[in-house]
Amino acid sequence: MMYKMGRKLHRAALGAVVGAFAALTMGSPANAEFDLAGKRVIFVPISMGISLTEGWARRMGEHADIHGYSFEIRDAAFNMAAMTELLAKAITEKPDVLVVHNPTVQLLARQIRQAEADGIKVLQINLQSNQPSTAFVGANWERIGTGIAEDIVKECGAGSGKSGKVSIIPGQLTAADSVIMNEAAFKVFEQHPEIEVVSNQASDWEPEKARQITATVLQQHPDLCAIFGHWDVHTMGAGNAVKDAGKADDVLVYSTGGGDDVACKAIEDGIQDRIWSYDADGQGRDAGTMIDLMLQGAAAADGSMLIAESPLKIIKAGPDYDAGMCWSM
Amino acid sequence: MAASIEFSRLPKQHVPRLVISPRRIVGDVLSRGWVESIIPFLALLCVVVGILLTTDGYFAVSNLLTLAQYTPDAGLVVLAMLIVVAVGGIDLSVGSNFAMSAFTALFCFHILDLPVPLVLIASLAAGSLVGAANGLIAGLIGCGALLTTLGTMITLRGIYTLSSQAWLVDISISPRIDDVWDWIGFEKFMAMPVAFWALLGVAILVFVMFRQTRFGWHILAVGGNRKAARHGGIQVKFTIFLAYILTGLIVGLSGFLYAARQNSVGSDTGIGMEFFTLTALVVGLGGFVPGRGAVISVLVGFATVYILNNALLNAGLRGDFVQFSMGAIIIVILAIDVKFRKHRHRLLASTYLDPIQVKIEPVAGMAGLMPDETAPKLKDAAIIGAGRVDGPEDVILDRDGNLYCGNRDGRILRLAAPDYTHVEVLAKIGGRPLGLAFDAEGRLVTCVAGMGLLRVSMDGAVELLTDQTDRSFFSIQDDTTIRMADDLDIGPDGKIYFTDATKRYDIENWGLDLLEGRPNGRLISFDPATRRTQTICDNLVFPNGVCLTHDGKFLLVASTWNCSILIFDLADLAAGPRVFMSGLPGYPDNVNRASDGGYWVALAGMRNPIMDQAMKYPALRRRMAKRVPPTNWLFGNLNIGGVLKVDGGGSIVDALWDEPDGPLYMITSMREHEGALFLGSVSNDKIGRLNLADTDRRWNGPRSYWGEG
Repeated sequence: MMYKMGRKLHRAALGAVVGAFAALTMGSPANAEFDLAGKRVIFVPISMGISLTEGWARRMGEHADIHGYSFEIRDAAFNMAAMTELLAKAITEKPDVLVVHNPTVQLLARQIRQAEADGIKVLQINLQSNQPSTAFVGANWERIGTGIAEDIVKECGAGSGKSGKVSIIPGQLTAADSVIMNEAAFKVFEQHPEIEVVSNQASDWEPEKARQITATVLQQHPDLCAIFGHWDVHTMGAGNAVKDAGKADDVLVYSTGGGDDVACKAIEDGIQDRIWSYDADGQGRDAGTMIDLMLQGAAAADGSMLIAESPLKIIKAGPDYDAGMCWSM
Repeated sequence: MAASIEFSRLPKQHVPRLVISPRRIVGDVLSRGWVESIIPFLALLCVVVGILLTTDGYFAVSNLLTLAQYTPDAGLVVLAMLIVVAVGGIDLSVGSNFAMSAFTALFCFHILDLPVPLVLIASLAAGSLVGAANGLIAGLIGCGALLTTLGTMITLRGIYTLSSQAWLVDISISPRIDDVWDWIGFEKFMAMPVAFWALLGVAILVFVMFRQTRFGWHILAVGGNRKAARHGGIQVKFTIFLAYILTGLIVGLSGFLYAARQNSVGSDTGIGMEFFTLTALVVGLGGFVPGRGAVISVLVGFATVYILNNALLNAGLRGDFVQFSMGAIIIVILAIDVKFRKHRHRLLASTYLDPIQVKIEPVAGMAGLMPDETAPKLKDAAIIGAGRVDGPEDVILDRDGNLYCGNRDGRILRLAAPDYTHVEVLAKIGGRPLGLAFDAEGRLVTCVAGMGLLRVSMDGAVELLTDQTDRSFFSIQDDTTIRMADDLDIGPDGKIYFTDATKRYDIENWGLDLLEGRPNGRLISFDPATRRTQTICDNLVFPNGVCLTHDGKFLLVASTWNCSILIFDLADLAAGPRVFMSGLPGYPDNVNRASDGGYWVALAGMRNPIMDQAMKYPALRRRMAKRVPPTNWLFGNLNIGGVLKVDGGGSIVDALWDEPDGPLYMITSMREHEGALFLGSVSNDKIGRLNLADTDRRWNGPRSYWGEG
């Protein structure tokens, strides 16, 4: 059993948890069954119907099926007002674990605090809030922001012969990914004065809006060097605008995402150039595992947040491109 | 002289305390105003029952509190939209205005560090400013509401996006925490969330505004018919302007509450809110209806849409599927509602008439007196005022012999003694004046169908005495208002006794009351000293003529469709009526005193065997009323009428008829005055005057009631 669990916990960041868990089960036979049947997990995503949340939900649901606990989804369908209410309702139902997908760093902070105070363990997935909770599974946005910014500097900065103009397209300015990636990226760009951020407008996670923003930016700055889209889905719109303007070869389109086959298709079609993938499918499994552990009582010894950081894959066109880097439903 | 009446030996008349009939309940419910909103209400009920059956604990206290915390801001916007729709406009900018007000609150709170009361004022100001802009363009300048608010919606959304992109990150990382702010957003006051009280307060204020205030009525008038409102002297443009400001103000409050609760706004804040609001409004009002300030219906519509949406989402259904189902369900609700409204009047018409089995006593005491058995004594009557009066239901004479009658056009006419050729108008009342009586001061008291009890002094001044009585205890219809005041008489103490012949039909449709045959009328008293109106006896069968007995101790009340005359003991009204006479040959109308201590009874129409038989078969009458045109209905014979002379003990002593083709028919009233009998008819255009032989030529009505004066 421990061996099996160990295999499940293939993520390095979970090492600490293993320790804690091992301590908890010390003294019982190694194959002791744990019983999670009848436990209850509620997942409140920003919206279903996108590969990220669908991918996570599939894996979390698989874990629930294996262990016999219930897994329910409350779909806010991109409506933040509805989301807080759904979460409030979910809290009153006192599930064992709540999985929340924060649209902004602030929106659900009070409720996460309230849920934890009520004894509900909260797992934040991919987008974290200002308010820490029992656990977080997701990308390290600082690492991605820094990585992409440094790549942009390499491609557009001094010595590249390019203008150094960058357009940033966040999803929602106050979402965790945008807050953290922007901070990290600007930290990098500050050291490279040749890089000029010409636009930083949120797309509300809508491709059409990203397309409009990009079309305008391209008119104002025909010599744009790179676009840093914070999410691959809405960056599709930006990439299409670049393609429509006939600048696919001149403008590098960066984004981050869950790395499903749509991302690979975008690379193949030349709509986007480089995607930092945090592998939503793997995140789903991480989350499922984390939920299993939380249901068994796992928590950081010092009360801080358990973090399972998603490993990154960089999908980019070129000789190293491999369609197998993407997953599909 | 008058024979004394042995009241206790007369048979008791059964009067039902309560009339229960399923068809009547349906009919009454359908004719209520609130039935307009029954479909939204039923829809809400279905939604609630559906949720109860399919979910577990949706209506648990904890979730109800959650709902009470999260719904009020949308509810407020629905009320705001109601105001602007009621005035005949529309406000598409509510969503943008809501977002901007919420942003204003957050900006003032987190960036400017203002105290919470100032934050509230700033939000309200921001909201009303947008309202004022809308009101200025759509109301004062008169551009279309749709275009104007579409413009403000887009402009404001732009301003919101710009300002929120500039400040949101700062707002979201602001550390400011404030107890009042958190209290408004999250805490409870008297067991309910603060926002809930705000919604309740605003709902009550808007409700009172539409019901009770001049401004609210102006809004409804302008929305109902702008042109008519302008002709009525309402400042239409200014009213519209103010309505938009009020809408903006409420949206501002809503934005503030939202900001305090969410402590953040996003780019999607308020998006689609105008459509959600309009949906709730349309479900509540059953369409896009200006000029209706139906606060409760609209909140019911709102609750339906909101709870349905919320429950579907909570059931774990996908967001897009929920939207799809919501749309489908709302279309079904609206379709049913529209159909219901369209056919409600037909449904009402087909259920309203509610006949009952009636058995009328066989004709008695008429041996040798029926029209075919005796000479037509009325053929000797002289005709007065032919063609110059119209439908003198009742006639009365003053001490000087001047003749008064009510007219179909709502006037009281005077025909001067002694030749009665000069017709003049004593008073213009309106309605349909029926019964008449002189009070001790020589003023004319009259029952006016459709208006109530009125008093006319000899200088023509008209005063309303009463038009309302107590509401009966178990009634769906509000029967407070006196519908068909018919006849009256005045007691020695000045107390006025009068009948409300039917509570279910207006005077034009009195015939339907006969077909129904139910006890729909009541006897009412009005005391001029205390001005108190009181129902003495409810549920009488078409109580018609009222006459105080000669000794002033009893009251005779004709029960027209029962062909009987009831008697009440004034000393013990609660004991109920007894039967003074029954089995009359026709339908008795007014009853008046005769000089010899007896009474005159007017017969408005004659019974016939086939009608008596039909009264035993309610289904037949119902079918007849539905299938056969009114001109072909079985009915009493109104082409002949007459007057019965009755002695003080209730025995018929004589009967006066006109010839079959004579001018006096359907006689509804008669007055004896100094040796002559004056005859009125509700459907005739003349008054008859018959000289009586062997009577006291000094006797007249005023003297009989009030002495020499």
